[in-house]
Amino acid sequence: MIKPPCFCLFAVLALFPTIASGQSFDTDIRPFLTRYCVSCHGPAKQKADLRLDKLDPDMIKGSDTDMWQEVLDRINVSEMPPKDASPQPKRSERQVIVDALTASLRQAMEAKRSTGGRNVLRRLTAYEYNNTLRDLLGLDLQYATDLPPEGTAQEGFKNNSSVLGTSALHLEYFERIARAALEKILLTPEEQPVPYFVRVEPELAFGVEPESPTNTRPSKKRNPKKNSPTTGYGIKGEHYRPGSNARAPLFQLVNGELSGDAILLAGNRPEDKIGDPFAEDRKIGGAGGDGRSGYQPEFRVEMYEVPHDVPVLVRIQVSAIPGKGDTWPRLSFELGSFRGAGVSDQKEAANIEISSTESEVYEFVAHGANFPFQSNKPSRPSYFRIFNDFRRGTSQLSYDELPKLKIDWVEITSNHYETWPTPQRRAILFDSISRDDESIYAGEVLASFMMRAYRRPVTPDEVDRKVALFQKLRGQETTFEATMISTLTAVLCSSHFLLLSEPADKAVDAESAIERRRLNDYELASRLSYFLWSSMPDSTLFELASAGKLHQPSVLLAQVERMISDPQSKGFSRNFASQWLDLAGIRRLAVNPEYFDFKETTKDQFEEESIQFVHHVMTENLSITTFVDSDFAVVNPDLARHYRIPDISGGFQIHSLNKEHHRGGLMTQASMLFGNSTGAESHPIKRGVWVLERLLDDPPPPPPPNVPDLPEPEEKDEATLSLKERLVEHARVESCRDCHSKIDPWGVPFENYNALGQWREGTSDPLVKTAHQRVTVDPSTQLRNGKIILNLDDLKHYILTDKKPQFRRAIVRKVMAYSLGRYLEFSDRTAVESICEILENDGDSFQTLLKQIVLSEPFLSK
Amino acid sequence: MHNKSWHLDRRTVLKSTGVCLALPWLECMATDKQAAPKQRFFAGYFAYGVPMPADDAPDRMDHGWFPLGEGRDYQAPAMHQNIMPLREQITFLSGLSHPSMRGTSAHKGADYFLTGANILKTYDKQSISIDQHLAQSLGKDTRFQSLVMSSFGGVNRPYRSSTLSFDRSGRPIPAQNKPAEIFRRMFGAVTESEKNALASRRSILDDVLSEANDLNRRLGSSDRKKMDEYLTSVREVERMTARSVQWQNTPKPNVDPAGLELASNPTTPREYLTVMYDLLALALQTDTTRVATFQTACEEAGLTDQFPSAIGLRNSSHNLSHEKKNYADVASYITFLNEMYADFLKKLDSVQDGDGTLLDNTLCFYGCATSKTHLAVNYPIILSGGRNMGFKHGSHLRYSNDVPLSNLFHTFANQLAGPTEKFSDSTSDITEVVGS
Repeated sequence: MIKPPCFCLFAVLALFPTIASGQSFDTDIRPFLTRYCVSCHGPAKQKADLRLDKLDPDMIKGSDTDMWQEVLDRINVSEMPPKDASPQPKRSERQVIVDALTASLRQAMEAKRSTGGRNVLRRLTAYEYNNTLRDLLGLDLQYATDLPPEGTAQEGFKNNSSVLGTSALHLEYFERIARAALEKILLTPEEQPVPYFVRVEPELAFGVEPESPTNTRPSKKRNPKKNSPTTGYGIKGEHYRPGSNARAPLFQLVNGELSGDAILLAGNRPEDKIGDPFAEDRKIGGAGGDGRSGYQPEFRVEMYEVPHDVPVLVRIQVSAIPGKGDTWPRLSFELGSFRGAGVSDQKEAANIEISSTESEVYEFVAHGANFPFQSNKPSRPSYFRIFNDFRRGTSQLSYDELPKLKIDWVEITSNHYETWPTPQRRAILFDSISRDDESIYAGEVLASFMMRAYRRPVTPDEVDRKVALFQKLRGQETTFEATMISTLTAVLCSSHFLLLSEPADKAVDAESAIERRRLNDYELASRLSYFLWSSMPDSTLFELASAGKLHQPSVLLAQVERMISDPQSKGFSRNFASQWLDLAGIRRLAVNPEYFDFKETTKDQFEEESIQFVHHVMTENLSITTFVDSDFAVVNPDLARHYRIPDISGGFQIHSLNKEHHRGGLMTQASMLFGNSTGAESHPIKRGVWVLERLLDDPPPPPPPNVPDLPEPEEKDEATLSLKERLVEHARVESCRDCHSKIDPWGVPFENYNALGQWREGTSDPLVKTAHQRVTVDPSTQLRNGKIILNLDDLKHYILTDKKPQFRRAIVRKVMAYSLGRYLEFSDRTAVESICEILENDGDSFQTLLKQIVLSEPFLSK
Repeated sequence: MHNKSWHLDRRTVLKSTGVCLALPWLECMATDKQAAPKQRFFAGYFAYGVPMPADDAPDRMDHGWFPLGEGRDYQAPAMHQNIMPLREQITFLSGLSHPSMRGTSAHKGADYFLTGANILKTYDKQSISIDQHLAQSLGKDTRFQSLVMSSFGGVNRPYRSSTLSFDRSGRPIPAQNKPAEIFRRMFGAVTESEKNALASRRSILDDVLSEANDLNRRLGSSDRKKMDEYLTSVREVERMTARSVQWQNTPKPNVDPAGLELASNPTTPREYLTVMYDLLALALQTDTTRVATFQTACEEAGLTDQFPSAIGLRNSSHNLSHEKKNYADVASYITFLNEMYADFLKKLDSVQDGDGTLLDNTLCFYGCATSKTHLAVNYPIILSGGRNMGFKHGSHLRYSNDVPLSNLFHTFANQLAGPTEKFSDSTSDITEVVGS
């Protein structure tokens, strides 16, 4: 039996990337050059001034690496040896040298970026900086929006030290952001600002006499309001002092029902059709483009001159009227403002299921600064609006069968401060017996703040230095608070705050190698929290570090479990999933309107689905094989409609799947399928590259220069060919075939999914507009090693059997690289292999993976 | 009495930028200082090269970039129609490229377009870009030493740069991409908070710098490399602070943002490029800075790759650039970019500035680091403006493919910054672009 020898070599080198350059040069590269190249590029002739026999064979340390890249590119596209030269190399010979050069050059690239397998200090990423300020200051605002956008390392991670540069512009913004945040907290008036208060009781607001005040569940059918809004005035807060010109708030009930003394909101308006569950039954777009604005029943409070850049308290007393099939309403409300006639901005502030038929009071606090809550003209109101976000979705519930949200009353308080001064201010300027002695008190304030900002104990010297700064500035500032703002701004511009540095205890000689050492407990606390939360450690982690216990394996494991079950672990799911799966790809592509009617906001759902999926796998401790295939999906009604999954209503939830839904795992999610399409057609090459890069960690070599990344139709009749057919044509070209035989077969099995990731089969795709419906769907292909793959199910099965060790290693490597904030290197191999082994014996559970990474030598050491 | 002729005529300003300068106050109007001639430099970049139908192809003049013929009698293809009213103020250059990067695979152009550095092998040899080199002298008397912009923003990563500008150590300078922030920094009212910040900034920087130096001593060599970025940045902010202190009593130019779509972003390319070019024109016109760069697109998958949607094309700009036969689409896309750029030049040309126009006092260098389909030789380049700095125009200058582009940069440096030995890998200078 003849195996393609080159392929084995390639695989071996990819797995054990080191050494071997010399050997493979002698066996796989030099013979080819001698036989086919040096007669023109050697001692006798030097065409193009090139002597291949003089090139340094050491591609890692030598100085001819680029020339080797050039040599590879020319051989790769069959430009060299020239067509008219003889002898001509056999295809297999060409393959041997191409694979050997590719592998050697990859090693050279890895060597080039090597940090010796050690962590290098890195700046906080913009999102980590945002979360850290949020947790440090106890104020949840969007801090990082103006920072320069972050780059992305080669394998997709943004927290890789090598792409996290610091520039003057960064520092300018870090100072500005810190100062603005501190001013917001510390430059507050003596007196608590007067709250803006609105309370609405439906019977007062709309002047409707309750039919039977004691009847808490009046007829659902009574008086469904259609499109004419009901307007009324409710109870005004005390900020409407006599003589105040403040305009009273306006209450609007649209498409809702008034029932006795309550408002009833259904998730869908009464007249929505229920016949075709997959048809869009609401206006697309609407004020917010969110698909529900305009027609969905809503209750709205429009407020004029409401304080907007302050905390807002919303209290709502509601109960549920369950719908058919044990369905329950979802309370969702938004804060927003009108930008112009009929144009508004809004953002959802809460979305929870209400599953009690008894009235209960729900309280929410949001900061107005995080919402488009500021109206741009006095005559335009800011508003609060509340929906029942239970969607009929792809179920066929009639209006009467839908669960309803029953609202007894709503209270909105802007300028909401439970205590004054605010807790954020008191956390910085706490009570102290030394409060009257400014310089002593300044030292206390700084010591406490710096410890949390620097994520470790601070030395008296460090505090003294900042006290000296405080005193220096005190003369030019008018107040203690103003001086403290400037001094704390310095803390927030400090290298100890902005950089994760893990320095030695004392001065070291930079030239001599620093000994590898175990992290101390505080450094460990930061690694843990930036890994699992994308933010600073919390008080529990600090306490364990302070007690010197954190590094104990049992303590570490318990902390990992605690951190996973904490809502902050969404930081991991969101950032790791986005970077690993390249969810940004969704935003890079536009959907071609000649092919699809598409609601742009559905892209948000694509992204959210993958993040929620990863989060679910983590929190439920599922197997990593779930990433390849699962018997459930995390979808909401919008996605269910997109995927044609019937009987899905409610919100974003876990739903079990049947085979005929053709969903399961990451590879059937629209984020991947759409993100790797052309926006009009499927794209087997991109999808194949995605599988190789993201799931198998075996990125194909980059295409040689001057090769189009998409096969263009060369002949006239090719224009009518499908992409897959064009691929086949493309692969007939010898120079393309070798590379593409490694890539394309991994993307062809996805042919059953159109550009938007919707299922199709046979010879037409009815989900595409009529002109483009003709396709030939053929998901069968043959991998380079001869393995026949019939369709995606087959490919999934193949990955989970033959390719399982490679898949497992890939996931381990991805999570580990993310946890360390650097590229993995040869020296990490032992750790990776031993984690793989433990995982295999432990059902491949995701939490085991996270725990084993935390216990691994690379994670624990500097 | 001072000669009024070079003072800005308000009406000119109003009609030229399409943007209202609400108050008559402008620095050059208000000052009675010695009117030293102002020298300005702009460099712009577009991605992925240009269509190049063969000289005998029927669509050569419809779809090609490079002019036919050399010298003053050249014929410009259709895609340059919009810029041709400025024929006597522009020069087409062909043939030039950066020698060290001729063998590169594509998409790295922005990394070396203005530096000419040999980064083929490692990034260590990255060096200062021509704009930053010039800014060292041209940027002394303005509120900002330079303005660095790109549609992508930030620096992205080595070999896929989203900035054209590199500092003295070859470190990328992050580009700004949000119109509202660019506007705020240049023209936004100075708040009380900002005044306070400025008063204490120097002390704060001293403090964080000495703290960082202590930390640095406790770091190994690879950490120190990274730490150096932080240290350099602090020192740079110190310099910026000193400058801001000098400028703190000079009010910022009062520019009314009403005509500017400051909220636009790259999803609406036409509006976005318009506002970015408007901001550039305003920055130069108000003398807020005299050196600016703008990378219109990054050669990386991203929003800027969808710019062809501005003219209704669904193809990405990258895919368009690979077209080998039917150049109609890629040509109309480049035509669109050229139009945006020509409008910018026309704005500069319509503003009186000293003894000429703003264009006469601004040397504008615009092009790309690949010609057809990612070939890293024979860069398509349009040079314009700068007549008051000795540049002359009206020709198509054709060079052989072995002439280093840095020779042209060398000439820029000679004319704008004073006699210079060389720039990057220049072997000579290019005299044909200067003279009267």
